[in-house]
This record gives sequence, structure tokens and C-alpha cells, in this order.
Amino acid sequence: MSTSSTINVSGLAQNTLALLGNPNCGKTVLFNRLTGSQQKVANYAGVTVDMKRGLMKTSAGRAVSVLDLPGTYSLNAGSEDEAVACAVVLGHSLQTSAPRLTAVILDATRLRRGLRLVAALQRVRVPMVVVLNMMDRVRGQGREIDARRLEQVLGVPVVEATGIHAQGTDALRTMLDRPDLWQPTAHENLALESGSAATLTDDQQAQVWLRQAGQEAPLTEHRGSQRLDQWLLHPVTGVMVLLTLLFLIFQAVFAWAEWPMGLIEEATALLAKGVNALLPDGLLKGLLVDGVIAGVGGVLVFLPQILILFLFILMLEESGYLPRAALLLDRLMGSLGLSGRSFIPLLSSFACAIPGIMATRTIADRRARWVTILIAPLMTCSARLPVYALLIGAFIPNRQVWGLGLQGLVLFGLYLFGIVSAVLVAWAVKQWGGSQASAQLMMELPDYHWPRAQDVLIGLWQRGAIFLRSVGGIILALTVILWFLSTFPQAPAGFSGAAIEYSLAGRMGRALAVVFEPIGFNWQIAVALIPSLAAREVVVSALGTVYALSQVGDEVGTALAPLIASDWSLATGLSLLVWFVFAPQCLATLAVVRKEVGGWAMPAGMAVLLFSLAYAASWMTYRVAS
Amino acid sequence: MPTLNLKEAAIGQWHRIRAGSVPHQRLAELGFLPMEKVKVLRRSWFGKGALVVQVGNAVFALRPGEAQLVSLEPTA
Repeated sequence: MSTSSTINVSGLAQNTLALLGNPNCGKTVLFNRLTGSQQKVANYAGVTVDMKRGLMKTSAGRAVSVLDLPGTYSLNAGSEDEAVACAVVLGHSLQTSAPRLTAVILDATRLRRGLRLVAALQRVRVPMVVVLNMMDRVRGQGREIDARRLEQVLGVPVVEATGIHAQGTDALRTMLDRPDLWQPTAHENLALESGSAATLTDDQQAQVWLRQAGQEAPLTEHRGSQRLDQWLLHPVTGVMVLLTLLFLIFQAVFAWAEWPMGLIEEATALLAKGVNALLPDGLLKGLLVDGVIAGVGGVLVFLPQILILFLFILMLEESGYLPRAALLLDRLMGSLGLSGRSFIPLLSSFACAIPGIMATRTIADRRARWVTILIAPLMTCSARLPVYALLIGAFIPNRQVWGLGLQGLVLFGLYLFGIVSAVLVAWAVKQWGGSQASAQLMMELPDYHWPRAQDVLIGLWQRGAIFLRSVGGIILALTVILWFLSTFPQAPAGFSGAAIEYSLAGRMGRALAVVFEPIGFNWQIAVALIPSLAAREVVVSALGTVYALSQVGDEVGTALAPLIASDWSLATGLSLLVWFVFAPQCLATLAVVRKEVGGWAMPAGMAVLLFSLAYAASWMTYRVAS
Repeated sequence: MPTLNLKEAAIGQWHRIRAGSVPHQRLAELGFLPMEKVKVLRRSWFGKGALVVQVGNAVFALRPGEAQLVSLEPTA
């Protein structure tokens, strides 16, 4: 297999090939087949919203850099992700220079709309080749498309390819060896006509081509998908299937992750023990054990849950089910001024709000996108789990209520509280925003097909790597900073209180305690809330540090629980639990929001809103409980 | 009774998009173009929610307000 030989991704390939095509044309599968694991995602991708770059080899062994662009129906960008694709191909992108060659991927079963894209690209004289994908489905209907004839008609090279067989891309690899394809062309900045008149012109051109190629007879539709939709889009059976799926996903996120999470915790504890034994007591040891190892371990421990949730999201996306789920929820979302399109970002937000917020790029409607970004952090992300686990373990008795565990019920209640709050916020924004035009749905329902393991695994691997890189870095840095703040200045000999009280962090906590006193937080909690700005789960290890414990990882949690249970009142515990339902403090999320919407107004507004909600809810909880 | 737009079209019946009608730009890009064949496959939420519409060889979910923008050739 030609993809198995290693290519150095860091080396610059001279020639860049961009893959462009309609959504669901099998572009990403083809990209995976061309580049194998030799790919990089530019950014934290939720559901294929980002540009991916990879390296492939032609048949003669030449390296070609390949860009996988988001799917688009035309060159008039309707949403942010389409804008990325159009800008790159037209050479308007600031991130990357114009590709030397563009490969337009056509779904052979839906030639007409693919050819509209070809016609639009020809109008602006973009150098291109055409790749006929999914020919197996055309042949499955006893039909044939003559690539030679299509090539003559279009006047650009046409090649057949399929991402589902190992040899499916050989013809494309051979074609890319033709030197005439890579002739540098002076980039003409032709004005792109847009509007429906241009689309009509492109469509007429596409129909002329189809006639000339002898392909005007339409193919029959995918009957299997329509039969499945009878059940999956039904208001009763469809909703039941959706709820069952969501229930199973959340079960799996908790049940399957337990074992790998335990392993990671044990490994972290073992490493800390080893470093403890090896190094002499002192500052370096403190920094390594309490700062670096505890910090990294605290992040790694969430990877299993995030990967399991993404495994399901990727499989649902690949199979074609996700847009159906979005359709089922469209009516509910519509009453909140959103559309079904908001479902996918919000589902991702249960793993982490960051990929969820990035996935909002597929929402064309500006206002709906903003509201989705606003409520995404109210979905209970996995970073809140360790906080909930610690507080529930410490304050909620482990007994049965109506045959169900009370602790589990409280956890479920907290998830529900988050969702209900999100609904209320969206509803309030809709009321306040007045009667606006409703958000666009206009969403394609692709044919169902079985997800392929290779593509799901590549997607999963990319998400895991990006999570560790971007989020891990921030958490590690902040844990180390907190360690410094809570260690320096060091208490003089004979200082009566805990060492941390003398430190900068201790003094800051005392100052902040005034603000948090009405909602029942003591100065230790106030201190711990500062580093949890980096990531919410850090509050657990921060409380551990503040309470001057020397254990790490899981041990912090278990030893901390009885300590806080005796030190805090029940009202304080519940108040902190409710605080984290809204918990505005996740700087990474706010930074992503700033990047996505451009400007600080939205993230600043979000921080103020979430802080106010958290404060109000905690205040009420504290008053009622005490 | 001639059908006027896609929102009101009967389920499971092929129609043609009206020739010469100026389509909504986004809908045109998706393939809702004059003379193209369209069929309503189902109306979700007991007829009150989004429509599942086949246009040519592709299937889309449209909100009723969106389907209303697609004018159809009068049926015989």
C-alpha cells in the first residue's frame, strides 16, 4: 500500500493540491486514503470544520502537500466553514497561499451539483482536475460514466477514484505526475460573480456538459435511506431512538472510561512516588510533584471520556445520522430562536465546550451561531466531572432513593440543571432580541452508510492530539504558576499558620473571600477558584494544594473529601456544586470564543453573564440550605 | 387545485420547480433550481416541523418557511 511508506510531513512539498467538493461527496475519506496518517489539523476541530493538511506521494514518489477543505455547495460562502474553503481555492486566504492545483471531488451519483462547482471554478480560471468519486454506487445501478468522454467535454483532466479500496487512488496518484498540471499560472484576480443568476448560469453549463457526456438520465434514489428514515425521523420512534442513543452514549462515557482513567491515575501516582523517592526534599521536588505531575495527570485523566464521546459523535456523523438527530430537534430549537444545526455543537460541548464552539462554524445564521456559542458552556463538560465527584462524594449521602443511588441522581440533576439553564438563557435572548427572522435549517440529509474504522480512528487520533496539545499546555502552565503563587513568598521560620497563608495566593484568597463570603465560600475556596480559571477541574488539585496535602492525583480527591466534609457546612458544599453548573472560569473557552467571533465584546459579555448566573444561583442555594 | 409552493405540496408526489422563478440564493446553490424535480418525503412533528424534501437526487431538511420560497409549476 502506497500510503504506508513514511513521508516527512515537516518537509515542504513544493506542490499543493486542494481537495474541494460538495458536503458528503466522500472527500475526507479520499483525503485519509491519500495521506494515511501523514496529516495535521490546523486547529481544534469539532466536526470537520477545519482545514486539514497532509502529505501524499505520487506514483513516481513525488511529495505533494494536500489540503482537505470543508465541503461547499458553491463559491458563495454561506457559512464560516464554506468561507474557509472558498478563500483558499480563490487564493484569498491569509493562512495559506493559493494551491497550485485544485481537485474537485464529484459524487458520481450527484454529478449535476458537482459540475456547478466545476463551472464556477472555470469562470475564475482556477487550475483544476476532476475526481469522480463513488463510481461503485453508479455501477451498482448498472450504469457507467465514461471518464474520457467527460474529460473531453469539460476540458480538464478527469480521473476516477475511490477512498474505500487501497488501490482506489492509484490513478489519481499517477495523474499527479503529469508535469503540465503543475505549471505555475499567473494568478488572475478575476471578480467572482455571485448571486442566484450566477448559480443559474453554472447550472445551465452543468446540464450542457451532462448532455454532451450522455449522462442526463437521473440515477435512482437511495431507497434504503428512505426506508430507514421512515423510522428514524418518525416523531415517536425517531425520538425514542435518539433518546436511547444519547442515554447509551452517556452511559458509555462514564462506564467505559472508568478503567483507563484508573490506569492513568495509578500511573500518575506511581510517577509522583518515584520522583518523591529520587529527589531530595526541596523546591524542585515540590514543583515537579505538586506542579508538573499533578497538573499533567489532572488533564490526562479526562482523555478517555473525551475520546469515548468523540468516538460516538464521529460514528454518528460518518453514518449520516447526526443531521437526522438535528432535524428531530429542530422544532424544539426553533422555539428558542435556534435551528437543529445547533444540536451538533451542543452535543460536542458535553465533552468540552471548545470543539463545540468551533463546530458552530457550520451555522450560517449569525445570531443563531452567537446564541449557540453563548449556551455551549452550560452543557456539562467533562472537566466539571471531577469537581462534581469530589463534592458529591463529600456532601451527598450514599443511600438509595426510590431504588436509585442518591449520588447518581444528584449528578444527573446537575446535568439537567445545565441544560435547563441553557434553554432559559436562549429563550431570554430570543425574547429580548425581539421578533427576528428564524434561523436557517436547509440541511442535507446524506445517505446512510456504515462508518469505516480507519476514518473514525484517524478523526479520533486528531482530536486526542489536539486536546492534549492546546488544552494540556494551558493547564500545565497554570498549575505551575499556582504552585509558585502558593509557595512564594515562603513563610518565615516560626510562622504559626499553614505556609500557604503567607504566600501570594493566600493573601489573594483572603482579599477575594470578601466577595465570596455571601455565597458561603471560605478563603481556601477563593484561592482554589483562581487557578480553576485555566480549567475547572484544576479546582480539585488546587483545593488539595491549598489544604496543604502532599498526595497527588486521585489521592488528593479521596483524602480531600472527608476533610472538606468536616471543614465546610453542607450549604457551602451545595453552593459550590451549583457554582460549577455555571462556572464562567475557563479561559481557554473564552479565548476560543474571542477567536471565533472576533473581538472581546462577546467573551467579556459571556464571562459577566455566567459569573452573575453562578453567583445568583449559589447565593440562593446557600440561603436556602443554611 | 394547482400547487403553488413546496410547503403545500402533497407528500410523495413529484413536482417541478417553476420555470423562470428567481430562486433564493442559498436554495439555488443547494440545487433548488427552475425545472428541477422535487418531492416532499415527509413532514416531521406531525406535519408541523421541518419538511424532508428530495430535490433531484439529494435529500434536504427545510423549515416550512424555507420550503415556501420554492414555487412549483402548477400541476395539471
